[in-house]
Amino acid sequence: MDHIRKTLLSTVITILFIIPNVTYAKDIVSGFVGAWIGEGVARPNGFGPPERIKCKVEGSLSSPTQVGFGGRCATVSGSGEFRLLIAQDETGQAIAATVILSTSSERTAFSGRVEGGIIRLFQKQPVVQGERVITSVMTLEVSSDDSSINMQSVVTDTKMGEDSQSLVIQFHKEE
Amino acid sequence: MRYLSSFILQSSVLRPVWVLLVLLPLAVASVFGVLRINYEDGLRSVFSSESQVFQEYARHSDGFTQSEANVAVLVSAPSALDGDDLGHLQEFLLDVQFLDGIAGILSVFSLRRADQGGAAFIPLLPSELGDQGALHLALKSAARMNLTGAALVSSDLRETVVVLSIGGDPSEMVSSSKVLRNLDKLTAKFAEDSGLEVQVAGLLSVREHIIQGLRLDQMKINLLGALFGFAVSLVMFRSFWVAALNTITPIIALLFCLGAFGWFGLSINALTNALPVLILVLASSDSIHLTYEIRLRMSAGEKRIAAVRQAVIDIAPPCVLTSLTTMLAFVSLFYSESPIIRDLALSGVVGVFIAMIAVLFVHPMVFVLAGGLPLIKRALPIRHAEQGQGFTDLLAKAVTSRFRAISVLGVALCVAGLWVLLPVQTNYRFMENIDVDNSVAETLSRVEQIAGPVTTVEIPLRLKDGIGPFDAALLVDIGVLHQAVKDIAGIHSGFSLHSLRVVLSGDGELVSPEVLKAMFDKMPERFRNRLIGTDGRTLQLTLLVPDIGSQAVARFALDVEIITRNLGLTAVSVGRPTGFLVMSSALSDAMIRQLTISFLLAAIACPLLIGVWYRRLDFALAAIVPNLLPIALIGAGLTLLDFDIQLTSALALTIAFGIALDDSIHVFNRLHLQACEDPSQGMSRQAIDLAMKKVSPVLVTTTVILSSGILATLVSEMPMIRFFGVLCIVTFVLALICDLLVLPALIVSFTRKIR
Repeated sequence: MDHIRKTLLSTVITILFIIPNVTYAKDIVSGFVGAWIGEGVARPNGFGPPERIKCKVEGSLSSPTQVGFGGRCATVSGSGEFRLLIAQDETGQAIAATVILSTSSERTAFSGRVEGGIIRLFQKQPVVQGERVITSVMTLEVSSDDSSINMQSVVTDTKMGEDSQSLVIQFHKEE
Repeated sequence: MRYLSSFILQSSVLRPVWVLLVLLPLAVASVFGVLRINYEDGLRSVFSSESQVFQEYARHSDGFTQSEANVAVLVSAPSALDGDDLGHLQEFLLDVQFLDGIAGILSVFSLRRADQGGAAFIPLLPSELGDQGALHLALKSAARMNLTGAALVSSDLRETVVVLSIGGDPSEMVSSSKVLRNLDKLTAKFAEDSGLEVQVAGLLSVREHIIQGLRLDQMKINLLGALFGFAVSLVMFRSFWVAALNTITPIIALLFCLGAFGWFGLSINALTNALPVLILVLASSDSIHLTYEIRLRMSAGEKRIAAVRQAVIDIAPPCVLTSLTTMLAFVSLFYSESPIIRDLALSGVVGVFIAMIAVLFVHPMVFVLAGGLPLIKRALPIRHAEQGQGFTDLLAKAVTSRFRAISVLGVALCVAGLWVLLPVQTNYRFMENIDVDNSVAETLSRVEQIAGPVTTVEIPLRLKDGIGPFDAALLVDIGVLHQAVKDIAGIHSGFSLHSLRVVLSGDGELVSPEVLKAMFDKMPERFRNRLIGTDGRTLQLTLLVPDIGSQAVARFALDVEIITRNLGLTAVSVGRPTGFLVMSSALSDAMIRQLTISFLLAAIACPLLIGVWYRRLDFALAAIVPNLLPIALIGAGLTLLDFDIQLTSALALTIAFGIALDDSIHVFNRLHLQACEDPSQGMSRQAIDLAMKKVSPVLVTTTVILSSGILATLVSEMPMIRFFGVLCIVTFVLALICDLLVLPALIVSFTRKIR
């Protein structure tokens, strides 16, 4: 009987620990679901002069822990498709992401964590762009009511030691 | 023919209600067919063929982004563009890229300059549009810069051009039309929000405008054609009811014809646009001959049914023959390699056949059924003497008494006309399909004033073995090419890897091939693909050249070919100039020449058919000159007036020849009927005088009907259709004069000779 009570208690404790995390993690990715319109500023190649940018994207869950967030972004110089794939682990704290741009054949891989409701992603491998060696940090923040997403990116030229706010986009749900 | 007449008598005359019961479901089906009609401009497929020129063009254009798929948006401000205006433009540029089908943009914001250190290329316009001084300077630089050979800002800085690339196949106008409609909505919103004037232009817009014009034309031209037909019938027959009866059959013929077009998938395009109204007037013309005969017989005391019966026996054969000669004229167009002209030939044959069947079966039925109504019955017999009978009698006698002089004069004029006309001088311009004062054409002209011609000539450059697209030797070669062709008259500017290198270098030293490659790699794919083909081994030098007419373009292309042939280039082999302008110029000439052969085939085949039909050599010989003469005179006139022979004129003259023969056939038929009635008279001058006296008023009437019906084409949205109409009318009038003067004279001559 005592053995049964102990087993039951440990199960309840486990559930109490896991359920909130899973629910929280599910909330993070489900926050991206829907049709979004974003506007902001982008710097071409990370360090170029700022240009206005507009995006129309669609977020959809591919599994309870994975979301695809992709669509079309345009600046006054041109436009292209982009896709951001976000996946979380079972704890919901560790995040992996991949960015795919139609203008480039390469995928950029990120890994990061959820901190206080903000997803912070770090580029896994720096890329060489002309004279520069670039890495970036992307932050994504879904508002508590899931009505907006703030996406920002800061790039760093590790060779020259320069930083630049390369992207700031505020997404709102499309009406 | 006897069996056909018998069948008509058994059905339409003796069992008109049965015919009506068959007609009703056919009419309903035709209405649904009309709703299925497909409208397309067809102008891109005009030149599609197996010819070497077209195949070269198709192969080359497959590898490069097509400039004909570009649409220009012209943005105009009352004074020099300021920060607010460009802020609104930015908003538009962001939004327009989300329209389905927009594959790329090029605007003043796309222009780049080297930064101060020369290490990177940055936007020409400042990020902060509020700094008016910096913005003004930047716009001035933009007005001088031509990244793609075309400037994007006007010299007074009031206007700017945005170039939008439409994705997909440029020949597929259905999807392009949708993109253009959405673009129109967005530009209207942009204009409203900004207070700027915004207009859309480009070859796709021209084609879209033509398609819209075709729909409008079909409604306007056919309605007016029917109304004119009714009005002329009213004047000629002086009876509302007879005119009304005479209008029913042509309208049914038109409905069946359009219905058949819909069900058989025959589209209405720039060439077939005038076909429905032709069918309408041809059916009107044949109906008038039947109506005239029925009334004549009823006036002579015959009962209505007997009059209809005899009219069918007498007039159905020439109606069939006139339809056959018109069909033969259309069949001759199959000689052309162009799919759109072959489509016209098929549509013409189908349309004329349907009109013939409608006239033969519906018109007698209309008179049997409706003619029985008391109000109409009273109106049928002719109650007054035909006007002009005295004049036609005098004219016929005057002609036959001077038959030698008139015959010689007719033949001499015909030979002189052909002498001037042949060899045919051809001319073609894509923009001949649209009015110069049309808003799309005006916008295009304003865009061309800023950006230069929207039409181009492309010179293919094939890399030699071991040479890469950014090798210094290649760039030197392309520079030499630019230098060699720049002085050829007509070239606005050139666009290639070399010109891109010059633009990127600004006023400084030419940038290195490595820097050029780095910049090139950052450009949008559609832009890159205008310079280097998809195979990576073919480049092109694009010359911006105005559409100056096919002859001038052909000369220009030859000049370019001669100049580039012996430049001694080491890195690249220069191909023959190509592109839509060169291809259409070369093939339009070949196509118009093919149409000339089509016409000659029709000119031989139709008189031959008349000779076989009546089994008379003299009829066949006599038919040639009176019908060839109008065409020779008009062709010579066009050549002498420097209009040359356009695609429209070549088509109009061939088709009008087939129709103009109708009058001659009715003259032959009258002579044939008289000869059957009174064999002792034979083909004497008296018999010819009598036949001309009887048939002349009908010939005048049918010519007026044909001409007035075709007059409706003058309201067409398309200048080439209006020109087609004018040429047809002039042909019909000249053909009438020839049939009244030259034909009887020649019949007398040949009859005497052969006898």
